[in-house]
Amino acid sequence: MVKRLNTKEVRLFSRQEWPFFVIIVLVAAGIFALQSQAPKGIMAVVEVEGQTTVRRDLAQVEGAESLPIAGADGIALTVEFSREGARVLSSTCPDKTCQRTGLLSRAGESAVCLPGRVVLRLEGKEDRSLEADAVTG
Amino acid sequence: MGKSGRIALSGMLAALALALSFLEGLLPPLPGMPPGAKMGLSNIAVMYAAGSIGLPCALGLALVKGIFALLTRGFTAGLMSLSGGLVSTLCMWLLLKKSPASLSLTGVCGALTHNFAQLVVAYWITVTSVTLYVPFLLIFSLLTGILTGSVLKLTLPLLEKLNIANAVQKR
Repeated sequence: MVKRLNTKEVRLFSRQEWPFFVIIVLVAAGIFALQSQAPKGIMAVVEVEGQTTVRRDLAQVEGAESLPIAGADGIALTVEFSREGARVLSSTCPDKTCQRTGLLSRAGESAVCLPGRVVLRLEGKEDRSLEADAVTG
Repeated sequence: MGKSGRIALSGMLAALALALSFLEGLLPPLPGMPPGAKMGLSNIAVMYAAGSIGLPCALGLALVKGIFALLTRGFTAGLMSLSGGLVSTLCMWLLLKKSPASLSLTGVCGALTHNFAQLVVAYWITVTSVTLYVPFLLIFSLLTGILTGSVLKLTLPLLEKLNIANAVQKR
């Protein structure tokens, strides 16, 4: 079927096509509902010398939030949390590896400052229960 | 109208598509939408080309749009525009030429395929989670697709008065 694009042959709406539009809306609503049910977001964890000092739920951060962290040997870091993820904004250590790691946005990613013995990492919420099990068991 | 006429018309449509994408760029970003979500106004020109001139011309327009994005907004934007543009052009051409689909359905499917091709590329380039945007993109595609279909429906009678497409078709 080859037809021409003109006013007589092409209509703006067709009655048979309405179900398609309704399906799109339903699918969108369904996915949205699933997403809002799922454990939302990621936890950002800061550890200094092996001790967890900060835990932030990134889904609950409004805008960008920066936080000073005091590491070992007088090394001071600034960590920034946002909805998109977490990163080390600045560090007084000489090599800046953690700073260059950039934005962490997925569970399992981490930025490590070896001289300050600071670890910034992201974990999924389900990881936390696994961790708790491991500690008790 | 011979080959030269068709080339001239394609050029005009390409200019129109670029002008529309530029105009779109001036609109403020929409709240709640993924960064770079656009109304797809330039798809009107592509849709018209796919329906009345032919697939090669329409794909050419998508290519020009992609190159324009590449030159003005960088590699990522160019790749996103090109991937979305080519896939949606193919989809709209199929619907317009090979099926009895209405203009709004064609617009919506064009927007959907455009967005999802881009989503795939975005997922491939960055590794951040893009699935969060899917429901918004679905609704957004629905609205903008109906909008582009309606605009084309409104402009078609005027274009027919100019008799350009007929001249190209009769050739």
